[in-house]
Amino acid sequence: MKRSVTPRIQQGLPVLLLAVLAYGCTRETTTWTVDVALPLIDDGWSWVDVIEDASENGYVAVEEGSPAVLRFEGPVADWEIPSLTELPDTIVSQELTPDFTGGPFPVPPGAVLLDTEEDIVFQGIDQQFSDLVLSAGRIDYLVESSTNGYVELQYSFPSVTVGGQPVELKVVLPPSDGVAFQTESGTIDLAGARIDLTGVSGNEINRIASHLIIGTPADISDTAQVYGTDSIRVRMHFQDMFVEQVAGYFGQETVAFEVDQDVFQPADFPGGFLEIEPTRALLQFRNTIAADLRLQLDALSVDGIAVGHPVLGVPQQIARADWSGTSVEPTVWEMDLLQTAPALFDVLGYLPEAVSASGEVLLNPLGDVSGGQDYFDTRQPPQLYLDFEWPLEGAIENFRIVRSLAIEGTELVGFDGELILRFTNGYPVDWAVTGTWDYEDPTLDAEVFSAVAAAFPMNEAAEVRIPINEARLASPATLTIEAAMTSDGPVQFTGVERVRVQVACQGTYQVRAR
Amino acid sequence: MKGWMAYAFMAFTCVLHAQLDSLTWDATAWGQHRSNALSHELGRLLVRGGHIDRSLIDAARLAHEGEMGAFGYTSGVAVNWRILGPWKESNAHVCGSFQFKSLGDVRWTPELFDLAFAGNAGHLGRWDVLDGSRVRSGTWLQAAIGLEGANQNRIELGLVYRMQSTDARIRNGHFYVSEELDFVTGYVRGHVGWAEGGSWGLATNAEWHFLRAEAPFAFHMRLQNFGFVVSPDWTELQVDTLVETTGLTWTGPGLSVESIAQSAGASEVLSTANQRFRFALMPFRIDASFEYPLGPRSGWDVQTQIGDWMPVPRAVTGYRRAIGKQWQAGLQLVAGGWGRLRPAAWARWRKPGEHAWMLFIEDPFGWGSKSAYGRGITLRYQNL
Repeated sequence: MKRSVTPRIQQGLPVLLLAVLAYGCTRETTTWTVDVALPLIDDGWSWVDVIEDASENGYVAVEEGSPAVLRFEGPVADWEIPSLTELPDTIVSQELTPDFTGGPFPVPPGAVLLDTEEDIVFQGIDQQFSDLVLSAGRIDYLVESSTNGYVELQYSFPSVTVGGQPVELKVVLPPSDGVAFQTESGTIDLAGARIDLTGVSGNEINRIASHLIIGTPADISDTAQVYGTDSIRVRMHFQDMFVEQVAGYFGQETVAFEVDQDVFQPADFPGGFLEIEPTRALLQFRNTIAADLRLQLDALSVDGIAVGHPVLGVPQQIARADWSGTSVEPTVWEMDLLQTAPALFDVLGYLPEAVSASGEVLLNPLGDVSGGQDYFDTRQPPQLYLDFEWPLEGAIENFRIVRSLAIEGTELVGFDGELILRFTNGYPVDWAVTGTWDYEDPTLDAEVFSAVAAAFPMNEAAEVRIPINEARLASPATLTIEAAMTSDGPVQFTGVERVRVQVACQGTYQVRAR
Repeated sequence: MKGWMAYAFMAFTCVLHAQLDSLTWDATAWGQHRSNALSHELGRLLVRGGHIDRSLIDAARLAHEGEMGAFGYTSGVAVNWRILGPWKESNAHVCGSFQFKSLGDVRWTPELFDLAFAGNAGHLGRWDVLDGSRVRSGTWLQAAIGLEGANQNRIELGLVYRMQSTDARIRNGHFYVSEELDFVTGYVRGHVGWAEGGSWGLATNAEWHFLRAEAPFAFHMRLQNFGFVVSPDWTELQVDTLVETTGLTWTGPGLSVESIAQSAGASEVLSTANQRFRFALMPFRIDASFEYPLGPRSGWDVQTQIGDWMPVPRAVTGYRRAIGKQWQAGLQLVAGGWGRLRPAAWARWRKPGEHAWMLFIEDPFGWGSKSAYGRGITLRYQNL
């Protein structure tokens, strides 16, 4: 009996030791609670913050002063001319057939069967292009041969260069079995290609010079057996070609002019000014094409309100842009929106949200006065441009700023506290602030709060406390703050006004340390 | 391999047994930890895990008494030996020692403790100073040899192999949040460093004893581990960063909610330095003790110890008395080191001419108490 106990003890000892060690190594998470209080956010809404997103197109700024001046300068619409920016698809086919019957006739390696230079004519182009650069485009090619021997085809386009290198297609087809054609197909990318359209002679228009050589490869010692019924075909399909720059004579084309464009985004610059009295409001047409234009605006409406103007319906001659320097000098034609009837801003009472204009433009109304030297860079299209200046003064009613912030969920175990929001007003008008903290978690009710930030100079900031806890912090949420102001009579702004938004956090948090 | 090691061990023990007859030696094993602010319960929860109740934190905050908090530990084994025969016909004897020691020192400002364990809400409008907060630890082996003269005065030179070493320190730091919660500033200049492998060094141990038959008192001086180590591969993360803000902007240049969300975390403010051959002093210790006989069988003694990374010198005073022919015991008061005033007791039993055992208990009431601030034990065997 004693014998059996000793081994048991010996076996049990390591287990006991392991158990002791395991107990000694077992470690729970250490936790304790801390009371934290920290400032988190200090941000504000100056006039620049209010208006910076007001337009996607132009430059918006506020110049400080008494009163401050809001300036907007920028394009409100681009004018597109499809006939200058897209080239029609063009297919070029060549077929070589022997001028004999019967056969076979042996053709030794290195023999040339066809060597021809000719122009490829782009069909369907009314303009007279001499030179262009493509932003996109490609050539899909197909080469076929029924010859019982190796065939080499070399198709080069010396007037088409990509990265300074001429585009060239070189294909070697293996012998056909006499039943089916040997074929090879592929694509040549023409993005960025510069194309000289003056043809082989250098005096043509809309033509690409090409050089086609068909023969047997010199480096393959195979004698081709050619029959009278054999043929070698090549098919080049130029397609999806979009122009970046184009030169030549653009012809006399009438292009419809239709613009329907947002100017100031109502979500980011809501109305509220009872009187908008700009000191400058110029609607310009900036011709960036090196070709004369004749513009005739037939109708103009702002936010759906049709307005009359002395220039409407009257053809306006706009001279060609100057491309002689390193950058374009556009020719500018403008109409003064302060001369509309009825007075546009009296009717609107707010910044224009959308402008619509219609009419037509005639290219080269006087014909080819430049001798084929028209030029267009599609990266700088003709534009409808607004130059606007507005002193920030007047009566305000419910001028609103809305800002929203997506908040990702944060894991703060055991957190229980509050967010403290403070609004300090630097505007000479009270701001009524309303906020909504909307949780994605459907079990959590949205927090809605409101406060009034008294006009500057004020005694103290408006403060709002929002209870938060672990569950609310864990849920993704959207915080939307809307501030609105209404003045008692006309107010003058200096441009330095600012609403300061401070967010601080206070609460208890459980620290976990492993 | 195992067989070879077994034979080597047997040979070693035979030689040792033979040599022990010609030696006097003593062996000491000790272990102690002490804090001036962290109770056993709080320490246990920090080490073993669990929820730390606010009452424990508050008790620790009170225990700081406005001073820096400190926690330290030391443990190890030391063997001192002396050959009985004289060295080269002199009065001196060859002596030596072997030591394995582990030492750790943590200290913090009360403000740092508050920030970490209570949060900053109670500190609004106050500048929290973090300067001097530090964590360091080291474990080393030392083998020394030297000469011992009259009155057991001795000096040794030892080879040190430091197995582990870390050092983290906030040289300067502050944290401030305004009462209105509209301004926060924080600054930290400090480092965290560690040896990637072992370090080698040299150290000196020395003892001097004033023992005179004509003098009614005795005085002892002892120096341990006075030397240096060189770490061949030392890595150090350094930080020198000031943050001062009234709050973050959502977006924009500088600190913003967006930039913090996109940042790479602490790596953006830490710089890493790798030093070859970092030189560092060993944590040496000096003991000075004074013994005064109050009678033929009793006495009074005073000890002072400095070094060993202790934030303040450790002072010990006590009364000792002989009980019978074989027993001796004493009661002491200990102050300083890493903790506050605490009692200690010791007892020594000897078999004349053969050996003696001594047991020293520091803070005897700390054993088994959750509210004590440390405990210590030392066991010594002395071959007479």
